Amino acid sequence: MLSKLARTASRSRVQQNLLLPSILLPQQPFQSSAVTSQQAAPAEDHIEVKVNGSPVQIPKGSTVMQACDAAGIDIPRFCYHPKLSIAGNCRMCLVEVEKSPKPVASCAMPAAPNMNIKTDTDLVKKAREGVMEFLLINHPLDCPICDQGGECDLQEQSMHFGSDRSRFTEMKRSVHDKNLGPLVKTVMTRCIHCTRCVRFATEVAGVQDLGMVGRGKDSEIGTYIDKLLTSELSGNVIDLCPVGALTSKPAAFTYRNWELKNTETIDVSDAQGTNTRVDSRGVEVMRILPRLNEDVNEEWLSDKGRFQYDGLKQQRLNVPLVKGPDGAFAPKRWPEALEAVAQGLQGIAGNEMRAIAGKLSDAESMVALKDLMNKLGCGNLTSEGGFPDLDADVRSNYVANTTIRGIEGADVILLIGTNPRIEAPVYNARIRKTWLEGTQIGLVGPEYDLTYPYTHLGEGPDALAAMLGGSDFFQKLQEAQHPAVVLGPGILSRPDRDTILQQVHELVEKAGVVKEDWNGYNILHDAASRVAALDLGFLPSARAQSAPKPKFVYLLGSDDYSEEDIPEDAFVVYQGTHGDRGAPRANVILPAAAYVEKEGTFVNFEGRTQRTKAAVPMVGDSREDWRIIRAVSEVVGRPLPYDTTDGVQKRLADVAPHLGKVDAVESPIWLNGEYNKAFAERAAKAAEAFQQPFSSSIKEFFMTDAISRSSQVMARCIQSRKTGHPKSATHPGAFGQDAAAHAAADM
Amino acid sequence: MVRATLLSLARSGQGLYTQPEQHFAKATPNKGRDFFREVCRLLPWTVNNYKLNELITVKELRSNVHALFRQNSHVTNPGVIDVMIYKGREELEMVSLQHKQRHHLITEYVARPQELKRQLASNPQGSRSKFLESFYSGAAGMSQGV
Repeated sequence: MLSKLARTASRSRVQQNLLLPSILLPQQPFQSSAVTSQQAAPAEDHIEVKVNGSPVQIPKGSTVMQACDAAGIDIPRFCYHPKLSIAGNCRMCLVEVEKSPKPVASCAMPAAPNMNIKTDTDLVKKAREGVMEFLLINHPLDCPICDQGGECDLQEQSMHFGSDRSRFTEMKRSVHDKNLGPLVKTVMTRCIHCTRCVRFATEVAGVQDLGMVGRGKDSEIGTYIDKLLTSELSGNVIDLCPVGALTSKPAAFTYRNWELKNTETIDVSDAQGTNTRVDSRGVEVMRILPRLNEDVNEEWLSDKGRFQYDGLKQQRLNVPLVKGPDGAFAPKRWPEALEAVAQGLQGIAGNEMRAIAGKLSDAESMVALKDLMNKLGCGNLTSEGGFPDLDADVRSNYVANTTIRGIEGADVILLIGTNPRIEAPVYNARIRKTWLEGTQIGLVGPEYDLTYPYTHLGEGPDALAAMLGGSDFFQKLQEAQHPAVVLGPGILSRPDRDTILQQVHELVEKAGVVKEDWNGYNILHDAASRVAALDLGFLPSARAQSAPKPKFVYLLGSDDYSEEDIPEDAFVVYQGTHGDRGAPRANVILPAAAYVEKEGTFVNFEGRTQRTKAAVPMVGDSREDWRIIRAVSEVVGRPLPYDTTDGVQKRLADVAPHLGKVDAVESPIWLNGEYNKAFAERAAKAAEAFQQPFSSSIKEFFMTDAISRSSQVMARCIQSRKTGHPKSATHPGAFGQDAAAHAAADM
Repeated sequence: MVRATLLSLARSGQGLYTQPEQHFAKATPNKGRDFFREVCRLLPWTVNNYKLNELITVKELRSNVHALFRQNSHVTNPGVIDVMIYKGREELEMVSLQHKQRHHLITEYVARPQELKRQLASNPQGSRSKFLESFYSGAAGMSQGV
C-alpha cells in the first residue's frame, strides 16, 4: 500500500515536470527515484478531500481525478492517460469544485486539502453534454465501417454522457489522412485532438515525429512533412487512440472486435517476455495487443511483437517431410517420419550427435531434448547464433539482476555493447523513463540513436580499459547510489568474451555496482529461449569439446545456426514451424507448433518465468514441440519418463525449481565476484581483447527469427525504413522485388 | 425341455413370459457369426445398388466388414454382444432401405477399415505406448485451440 502511494506521488511529480516548458530536456538535478522513495509515506503526506460528500484520503500532489478514482467514481476522459503527461485539452473530465466559478478539468487540477468535489450535479452533467456535443460536431458518423467501432471511447462515452439529439446542421470539417508508414492507418477526420499519440511519441518512444499543426478548427495531428513514424513502439499509438483515427493498417477491415476470442499469453519476439493478449477468430490470429504488467512491459508492446503475426500464416510446415534419395522432400505420416529419424540415428555413437536449440524454443522442448540426447549419450547441446560455451554455473552471470522494473531505481546507467532500442524496445522505453527522471546514461559501443541522449565513452574494449583507468563517467558510477551496468548480447558472442567479462567485472567491483540490497549488473538477451536454455543447462558438456565431427544434428527450430555446426554429410532432423533456413538443409522435417498454438514456458532476461497459451489450433498435422521429442524418444527405444504437460513441467521444476514458479522472478545470489576471481587464469589464457568495436547482435530489428522473416508486414517495415518515406511500402510493386531478394538470401 | 418350450413360445409371440436375452445368448455363442453372414448376404446387392463397384469389389468389402467385426472380437459379455448386434441390424436396415447415402458407406466401410488395417499392419502387437498412439492420431492431450 505504502509503496503504491509513493509511486503515484512520484509519477505525478514527473507529470508536473513535463508540464513545464522544459518538457523535452528535463535535466533537473538528480532526484531520488521510485525505488528509493518507496521507503516511507507518512500520514502527513496525505490530505483529505470530499468527493460527493464522502471524505477520501489521498497523497499530497494528487490531482482531482486521482481523488475521484480513489473514491471509486469514474470520471470520463479522453486525453488523460496514466503513463503520459497531462494535457488537459479534451475537457471531458470536467467536475464541479465548490467555490470555483467554473467546472474544472479534473485531470490537470491538483487537489487541495478540504476541497469539495462534486461529480453528479446538473452543472457537471451539462458540462459533459456540452463537451460531447463539441467533440461530435466534427466527428464523422462512420462507426459502422470504423475499425474502432465497438471498443471506441467516444462511442461509449457519447452513449453515457452525450445528449440525445444534435443541434448541428452545418458541414463537418474533413482532414487529409496522413501516411505514417506500413503499420498505423490514419483516418484523421475522426481525430478528436487528445494528443495522446503526440505525447506518447515524444515522451515514451522518444521520437519527435508526431505533432500538432495549425490552430483552432484547422489544427491537425501529423508528421509535419510526409514522413515515417520511425519508432519500434509505434504500434502503441493504436491502443492509445481513444477513437478510430489511428488503427492497425495490416488488420484494417479484417475483424470486428466482438468476434474475437482473447487469449492472455506472452510475446517471444524478443527476450523481454512482454505480456500480450492474442485475439483470434477461428484458426486465425487477428491481432496482438499488450497487456498491462508494470513489472515487465507496463502497457507497451514492440512493433515486431504486435505485427509479425501474419508470418504465422506464411511458409508453415504442416506435414512431416522426409528427403528421398533423389533429394526431394516427400510428405509422410508421423510413424514413417519418426522411423526415418530412427534410421538416421542408427549406428551413430553418442558423441557424434549434436542438438541446436532455436531462438523460439520453449523450456519444455529443451528439457525434453536434453534428456533424450543425454540418454543417447550425447552432451553436445548448443543454442543457435549465440554463445555455446557461456558458463551457466552462476545465474547472476547471465540475467538482468536489477530486474526490468528495478532499472527505474538506477541513478547512473552504463550500457556496454548494446543497442536496447532494437534488442528490447520496451526495455529501452523504461531506460528512457529513468533518463526523464534524471538518470545519467553512458554507452560503450557504436553510437546508436537510443531516443535519449547519453555520454558516448568509446566504441570498443579500449574504451572499457580507459574507463577502468579512471574517467569522469567512472567517477559518476562510483559516486552513484544505485549504479547499473547493462551488457548487450553482442558481447557474449564475441570470441574475446571472457576477457571483456573479466574487465567488466573489475569495473563492477571497483565502482561498487553490486551493494547490499542493490545489484546493478545486467545482461540483456536477444532471444526468448536463451535464459531458459542457460537455466536448464542446455549447454555443451565438458567432453563435447573433444567430440568428433557430428554425423547427426537435431535442429530444434534452429534457423540461425552457423554453417560449420553442421558438417556436409550429417543427417539432419529439423523440428520447427517455418520453411526457413533449417528446413531445406534437413533430411527429416517434423512440423511443430508456433508460440500462439501451444503452452510453453519461457524465461525473460530478468529471469521471470512465464507461459504462453494456445490461442489458435496447430497448423495441419503439426504437434507440440516436447511431444514430438517424446515420440522420437520412444521410436528410438529410449522413452522419456513423462507423457503429459504436467509431467514435463514437473521435470522442468526438478531441473530448475524457479521454472515451476510462473510469473515470478527468482533473484539469483551474487557470486560473480568470487567466481570470476576463481577463473581469472582462464581469462588470462584467453586471447587479448580484440580491438574491433562492440556491436549489437541484431542487424535488422524487423527480421530476427523464422516468424518475423516470413512476415510480409515486417518486410514492408524494412522497405519503408530504407527509403524513410511512408509511401514506398504501400505500393506492392515497390516492395515485392526487395522482399523476394531478401527471401532468396535467407534460403 | 422347458427352455425349448419357452423359446418356441417367444418366437411365435405367444406366452406370457420371455426370458431376458442374455440367457439365449449363452445358448447360441455364434450369434455374431450368424449376423456377419446375414450382412454378407446383402453385400453384393449393396455394392451394386450404391454403385460401389468403381471403388471396391464385394470380396474387399467383405474383408472390410470382417475387420470391423474383428475390432470387437474381445467382447465376451453376451449382453453387450446383443446390443451390438441390435445396433448392427439397425445399420443393416438403413443400408437396405437406402436411408444411407453413398458417401456414408464410403467413409464407414471403405475408407475407415482401410485405415484400420493400415494401422494394424504398422503396429501389429500393439507395442506402442498410449502416448505414441495418441500422438500419431493427433488427438488426445494436445492443446485445444478455439
